[in-house]
Amino acid sequence: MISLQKLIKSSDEVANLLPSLLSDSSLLLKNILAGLHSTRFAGKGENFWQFKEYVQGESISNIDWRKSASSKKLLIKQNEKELSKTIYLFFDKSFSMNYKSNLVKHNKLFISALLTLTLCKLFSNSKEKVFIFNSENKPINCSNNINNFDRNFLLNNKKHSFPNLNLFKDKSLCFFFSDFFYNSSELKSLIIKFKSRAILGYLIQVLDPMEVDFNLNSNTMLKDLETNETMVFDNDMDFSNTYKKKLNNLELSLKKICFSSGWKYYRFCTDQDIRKFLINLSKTIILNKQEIV
Amino acid sequence: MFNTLNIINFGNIFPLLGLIALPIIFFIIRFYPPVPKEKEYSSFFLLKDIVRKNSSKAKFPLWLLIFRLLLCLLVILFFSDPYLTTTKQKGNYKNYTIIADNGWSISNNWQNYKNIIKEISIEAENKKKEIHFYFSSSENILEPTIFKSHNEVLEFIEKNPPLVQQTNRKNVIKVLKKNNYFNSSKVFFIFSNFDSRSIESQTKILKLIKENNSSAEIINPIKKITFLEKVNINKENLELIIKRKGIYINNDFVIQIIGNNREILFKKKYTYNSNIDENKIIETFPVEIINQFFKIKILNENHAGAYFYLDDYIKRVSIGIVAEDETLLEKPLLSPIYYLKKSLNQNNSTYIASVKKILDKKKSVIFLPSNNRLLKADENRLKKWVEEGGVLVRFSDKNIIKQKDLYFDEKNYFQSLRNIAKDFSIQSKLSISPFKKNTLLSSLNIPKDLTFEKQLILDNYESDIIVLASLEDQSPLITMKYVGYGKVILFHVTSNNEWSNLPLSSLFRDIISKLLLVPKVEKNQYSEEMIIKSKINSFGELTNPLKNYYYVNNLIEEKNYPSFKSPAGIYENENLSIALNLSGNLSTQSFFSNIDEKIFIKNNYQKSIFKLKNFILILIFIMFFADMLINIILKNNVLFINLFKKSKSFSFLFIFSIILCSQSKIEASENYNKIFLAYIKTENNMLNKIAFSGLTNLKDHLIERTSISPQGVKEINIVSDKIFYYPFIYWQITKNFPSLEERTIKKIKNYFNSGGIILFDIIDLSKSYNKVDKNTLEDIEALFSELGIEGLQQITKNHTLSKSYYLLNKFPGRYDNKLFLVNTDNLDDKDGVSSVIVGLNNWVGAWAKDENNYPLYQVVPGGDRQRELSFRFGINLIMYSLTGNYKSDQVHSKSILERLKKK
Repeated sequence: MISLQKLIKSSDEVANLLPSLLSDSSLLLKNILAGLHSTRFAGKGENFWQFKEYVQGESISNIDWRKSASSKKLLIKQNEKELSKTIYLFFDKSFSMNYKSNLVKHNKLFISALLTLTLCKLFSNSKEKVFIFNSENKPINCSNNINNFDRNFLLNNKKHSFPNLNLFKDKSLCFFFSDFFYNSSELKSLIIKFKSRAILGYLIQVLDPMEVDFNLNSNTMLKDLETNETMVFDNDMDFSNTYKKKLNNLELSLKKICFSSGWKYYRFCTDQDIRKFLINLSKTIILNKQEIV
Repeated sequence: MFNTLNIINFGNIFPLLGLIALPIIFFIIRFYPPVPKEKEYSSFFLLKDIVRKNSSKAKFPLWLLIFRLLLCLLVILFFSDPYLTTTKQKGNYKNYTIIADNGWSISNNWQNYKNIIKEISIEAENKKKEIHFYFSSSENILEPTIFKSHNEVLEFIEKNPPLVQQTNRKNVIKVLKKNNYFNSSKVFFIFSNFDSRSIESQTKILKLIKENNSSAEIINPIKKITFLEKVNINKENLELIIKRKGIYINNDFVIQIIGNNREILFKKKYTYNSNIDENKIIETFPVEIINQFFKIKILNENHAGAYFYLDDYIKRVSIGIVAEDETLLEKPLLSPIYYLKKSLNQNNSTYIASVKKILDKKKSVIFLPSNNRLLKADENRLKKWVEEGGVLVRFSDKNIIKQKDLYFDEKNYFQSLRNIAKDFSIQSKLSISPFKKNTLLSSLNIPKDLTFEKQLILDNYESDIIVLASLEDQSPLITMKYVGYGKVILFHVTSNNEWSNLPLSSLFRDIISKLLLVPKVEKNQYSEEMIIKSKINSFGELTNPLKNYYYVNNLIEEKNYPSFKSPAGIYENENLSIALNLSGNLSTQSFFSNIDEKIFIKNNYQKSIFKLKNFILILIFIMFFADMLINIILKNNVLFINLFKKSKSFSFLFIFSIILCSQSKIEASENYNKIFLAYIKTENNMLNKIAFSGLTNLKDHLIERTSISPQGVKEINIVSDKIFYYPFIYWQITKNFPSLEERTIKKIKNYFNSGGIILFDIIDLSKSYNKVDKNTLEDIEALFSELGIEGLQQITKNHTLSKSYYLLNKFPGRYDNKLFLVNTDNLDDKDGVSSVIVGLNNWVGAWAKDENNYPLYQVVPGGDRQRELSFRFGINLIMYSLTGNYKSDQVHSKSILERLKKK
């Protein structure tokens, strides 16, 4: 009963998050678009992409006569250029992502979702195929309609889980947003498999500033959001130093995994400027993509 | 020391109840440690391993708990006022009795005196005994003043500072004479032998105290003292006798003399000879300096015995000037009295009258400036007065030739008149010969330009005539002869400028002041009552007396001492002021005589109570800081860092508040340093908006076309705002022109006088542009006369306004009326610049624009040219307000004329 109530409550909270997420991502997109150039053009590809009104001088052979007849306009059928890629965006929905310290405004899940949505819109603008994994780890195509991104995308999962490898298209591009506070061996084996299928991607570790510094003001009892386990901590410089070392080790291991598979690793702290981060990330993606092409 | 200590006692036992709380706190903290704050955290994935190693830190250390409980204990003890008592105290006393001297010497160590009484009172208070207090000098004590706490005693002492006198302790002796009066009391006698007026009374009281209560403690708080025993001013000599008693490490002392205007006139260090505690100082000063002495003091001595105030009694000489013919005073420059009177110091009491009247007044010196024949009776009286010790100063004149008794000594002298530097004289020009050394006049400087035309020459000089001054040919100029006990001084020239210019010179004044040192002061002439003006306080300084005291200067020595009836101070009446000093009037008999060895006199009070309060307070502070330090160490500087962070925010707040305070200053400075166009706010909001818009446009035109860059436009409330920041103000006058207060009118006048310019635009008359007649002009004049503005006249063709920037021959605005008035009054004071400009053309109406940047109003009769001219007028006006008549300067006339030709 309690769990149901909790679920309803969290589902309401998630529902409340959505509008702000959508508007925030739109704003963000406006901000970063100026600094970016789309690499996606209409061209001779295999897949149909869109209809376009005929302009004098264009090849007559491209005119889709059937469509033109129905719409009483001369329309050209444009196919997707071969350069276009399929993008998969995945953000961790485990309970640890719900953490937010007093130092920041939003929790990690919100920031991850915001990054995901903004990237989705960015890629959609460039006419890429973008899939976002929902709570059931099913990829939903959001490139044509961002409204496909609904509350189901924000519901928490009990455990850290990855989507099925078969759901990914070969040579696609993946973005994984998570705190990666779990054993990285499963992630490592997954990324090796990705490599074998020429799937490239980015690991973006989203952390709260408290998780970066671990600086407690006084004697505090902490409760693990995933296991509900509790522990008492004091403000101890030695302790926080040791913690920082461990965090660095985790970062190193993640970088190692990425390096061996041609993936890229980024850390984003939730008190950082999200706009700057996204611009930098986008620029790297463009550069990286050109290299691939 | 500790073997004499009794157990610890407490002044207040109720705070000790707090001790019960300590074990409770201990158990609560020990067994129910503070619950840590609960917070959510993402995942223990990284924390788990580290936590296991540091789990021990969560506990509250026992030693720290004990340390903090100890701190609490000390706080409780502090409030319970603990003290330790010595075991020496024996006997059961009903009360504590303090008999205290409060004479002049007490103020030398006033703090020690108060401390001794405080300690005794604290002891009595802790033992719950009453404190019976007697001042030994009190006039009417038979009953003591009773106190219950040491604070009451101290308050009482503060209200009764030491007296500036010595005492015989008569009333206390009376009390002590009653046998066993103090038997049941613990008696303390705070005694100073310097306060004893006589050795007998001192011996008596000490003996009686011991007889009355053998256990009485006699304590002398005054260990050493330096005082002025004698001060004597004899003519130019100041004689001081300074004595000291007690053990001094330093043999030096400094004497300071302060003048009438409180400036330091003299400061010198002296040294006592070894083993001699007496120092006699004789210093010589010019008489004019001595006359300025007001106060003599020994530096670093805080009592009235080290201060001596001088009075007129010593310095003032009473002088009579014989003037038989009162009409002489009416022609001052010819009068023989005029220069004489001018030369006499104002400090002296001068009396001008006939010989008879002067002799009746008993003067010390009589000046006889003219030699009109005196009545025989007066002459005889004068001779008698001289013989009895009077000093007669007489001057020569043409009448003296006929007189024989020049020195009033019954001898005949043959005198003649000598003409110097005349046709048949050998000597051409004579001055005064330098004064002989070590004579009365030797310190005086002789001016160079002295000339003598005539001189009285005696043919038969006698050896008893002393020559005080002579001319360069050694002929006498001033002579003196002793007659009986007195002296006759004869000037061989007149007292006016008839025979020489000596009376006109500064030397004459100096000679007169020196001659005044010759007479002996007659003391007994001031036996009159005087009222106190300033009282000398315990520390030697002058204070305002709280009530009136009277002093009669008699020769009976007893009455010249400061007493309750006549305390030390400065007394005055109409004639003179007299200082009644303690120094110089001290009876020092008891200072240096030994006190009976049987009577043991302590130097200080040995405390029987040791208060622990202060000691505990220091401990609390130390422990508190130690606790803070421990906290910082235990928490790895976190607290310290936080404090630092907080201090940063506090400093930010502090800076912010400073900025806020200085905001008003910045605003004023902004107004001063930048130019703003201003207009006076009217009751009509529409007009205000038009004015704002119009001036804003004018501002833009100014920036565009000239080097003037106004910062903006400001609206002014003529009543409340300051107008002095603005060089130019635009004022729209309507029918509803408010009557202004006088204060505002004054403000406007001041603004005009300080160079401000106001353009009065009479809006309501604007439309009737063609029909401005005499009546209208009168109406306008009437309106401005209320503001105190008069002399308004039609602007002339050559007025600077027509050429300050653009060359204009008319000044149109929204309308084009020709009536354009400027004030012509007081232009000289303002460098020819008219402060008041009056027009009817509604200029802001022509300048104003609407939201779409289109002119708000059509100009009448019309045309872009008229609007352009209105802007040009505006620019000329602002230029005129900033540069005045600069463009009227001839330098510009050539270029202006050339420009006009082109036109």
